[in-house]
Amino acid sequence: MTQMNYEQFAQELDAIKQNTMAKVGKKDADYIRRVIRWQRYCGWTGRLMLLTGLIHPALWVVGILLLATSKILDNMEIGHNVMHGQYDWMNDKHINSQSYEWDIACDGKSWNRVHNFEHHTYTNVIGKDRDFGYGLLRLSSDFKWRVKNLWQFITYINLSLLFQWGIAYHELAAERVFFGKKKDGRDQRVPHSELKHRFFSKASRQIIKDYVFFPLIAGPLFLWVLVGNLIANLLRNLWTSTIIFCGHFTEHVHTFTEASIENETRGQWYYRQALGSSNIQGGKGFHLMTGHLSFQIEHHLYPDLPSSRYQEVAPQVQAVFKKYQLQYNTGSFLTQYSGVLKRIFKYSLPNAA
Amino acid sequence: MRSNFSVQVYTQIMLFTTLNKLSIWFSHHSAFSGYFEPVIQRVKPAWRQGLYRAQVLNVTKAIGDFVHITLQPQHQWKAHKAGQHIELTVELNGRLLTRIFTIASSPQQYVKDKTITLVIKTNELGRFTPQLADELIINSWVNISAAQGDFVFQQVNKPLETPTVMIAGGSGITPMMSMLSEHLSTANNPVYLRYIAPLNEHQFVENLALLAKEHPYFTFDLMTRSEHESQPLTLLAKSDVYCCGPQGLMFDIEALSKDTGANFYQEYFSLAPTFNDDSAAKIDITVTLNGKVFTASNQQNLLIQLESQNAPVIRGCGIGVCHQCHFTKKSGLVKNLLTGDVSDSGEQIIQLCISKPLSDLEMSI
Repeated sequence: MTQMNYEQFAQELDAIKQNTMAKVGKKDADYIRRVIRWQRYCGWTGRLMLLTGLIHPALWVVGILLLATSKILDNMEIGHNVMHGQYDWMNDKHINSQSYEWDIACDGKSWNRVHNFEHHTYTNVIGKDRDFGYGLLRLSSDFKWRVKNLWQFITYINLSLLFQWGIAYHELAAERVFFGKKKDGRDQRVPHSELKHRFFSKASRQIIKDYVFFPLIAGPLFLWVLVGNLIANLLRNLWTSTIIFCGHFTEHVHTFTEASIENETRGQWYYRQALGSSNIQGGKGFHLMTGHLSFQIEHHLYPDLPSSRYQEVAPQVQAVFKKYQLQYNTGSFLTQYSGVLKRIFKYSLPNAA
Repeated sequence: MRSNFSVQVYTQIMLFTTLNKLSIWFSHHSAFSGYFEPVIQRVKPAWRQGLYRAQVLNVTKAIGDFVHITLQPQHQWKAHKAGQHIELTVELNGRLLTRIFTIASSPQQYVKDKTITLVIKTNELGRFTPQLADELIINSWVNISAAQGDFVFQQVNKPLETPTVMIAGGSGITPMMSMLSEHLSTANNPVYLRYIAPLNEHQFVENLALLAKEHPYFTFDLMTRSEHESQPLTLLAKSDVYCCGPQGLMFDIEALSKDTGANFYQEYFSLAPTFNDDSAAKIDITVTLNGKVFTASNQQNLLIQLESQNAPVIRGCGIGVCHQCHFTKKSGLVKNLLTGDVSDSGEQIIQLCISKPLSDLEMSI
């Protein structure tokens, strides 16, 4: 790696953020409220249409798709971004990182710790960022090969199908709350009793909502609603998992060692975010449905910049990358996703270098 | 009848409690109305859970950088008592900003034409008041809280020889104006108002003259600060003394009232905090966190300073990325160390690791 002027690199990236934040205002507030409205419309229309399956099964299918869309909007564009503090400047009682809770099994507070803090601070630092492989998959040669990696593609499929449970359990797995040897020296930020309580409380409410409450009030249509909700949750799981895997596990993303981030400057932090993330090209609707994680690079450089601005800053960021001859890792969905699959298969085998 | 009524009320309460429980469990909002807020706002602009809506009927600029705003609250809003204040919430360029203002109009006016009037001194340096005159569009909607505060007129018969004295400094005239319009007609003893403001910045001069004409027992003086200082007030024992203005003025009048045995009533209002952004000059700052008091200075970020005093703060990335250390600032000014921006003085969420205090702060989790 040639000597790079990290300080200047940081200044240029900082300037993009400052210039953009100065423009943030009513347009962005209206945008997120509009997305919330459409999320509500889709969700409730979807739930109602699950009841029309008796009239024609196609209506039931539309209902499932609407409900899945609403869950994806809630988790990706609204939940993930609002919980990052992207819309805190609005001072809205409901749309802020302190109070927002999403429609998914994972407790929001736990997510904030593991995702916003661990993953975003230590992105792709092996041993620090547990999101790199989620402790289940071997996705780089930094990890020792184990026999279980031989069938890690199956593990990956299972993780995708159960994705919401994977991230709900993520922090508890890291903290060895239920299984495994407690790690020495790991300070318990949150008592295990609270982790357990919040996990079961959120999980049970989500299960009761989709598999007991709504099916029961549907009376004779109990099964239609139950199965509909199940499929909608599965679709959401598959979609979110797929998009998220495309953000950090594509073919060309870099990983970093713990030693390399000692005394890291802001410029070096930006550099790591830049090389550890990858974008997906697509249309406006696609970007919305990914919660703008299709701009993973921009999101990692500026985690609390409103998602409504990622499309606008992307060309500016790309220009800076070009100037510093950094790879701007982007591609079509197919390119990026096949990169993910390649990676999963490649590191299944021990001899991958 | 009676039991039917209470059964009805009981059912209603049960229904709402159940709905809210369901909302907390399933929609993760304290009430479904909050969950649907952006949808409701399509029909009712600026509708917000837990607040009243009010429509802007009139905005006029007045001498001395004052703005007079006439609002028509939604009819569920309950009339204030003369002297009370409200929280006014306005969306300015997507940001909801909230400030406290005393209602200058009388409850009678609200009963008569369903309007209330706020008289606001604009502060050039502030984030809120300078924009009000330009950005509040006639017929647009804002939010107000219920009226609150106990700075109200004491409705007791007073002997003729113990006049009621009101001392107003600057925008401290607003509660006095409301009380005078409301209560002069029923007051049975002399009322004297001393209104201190810079030359040519007195508000309501015509209204005051009119009141004095209608009510022979009411007299008033418009004074500048130096006039007030050169003509000391004389108070009588057992007089009711009302004071609203800058802190120094209120201290003096309170001391004077104590000495003469008068009854002292005051309304405290805080001016926009002033700050010195020159970090070479160290400022000692008090940080109140959930009621506990900590000390700080403008030399370092809040996270380091609060951690060193074992305050219940959470450290995350420490570089402004992860929002683990965020707190709700209720009041006070902070400077964002990444952008150099100075915050608004009202309520907002701040990140401790990249915030340097510039004035006393009040915060909560």
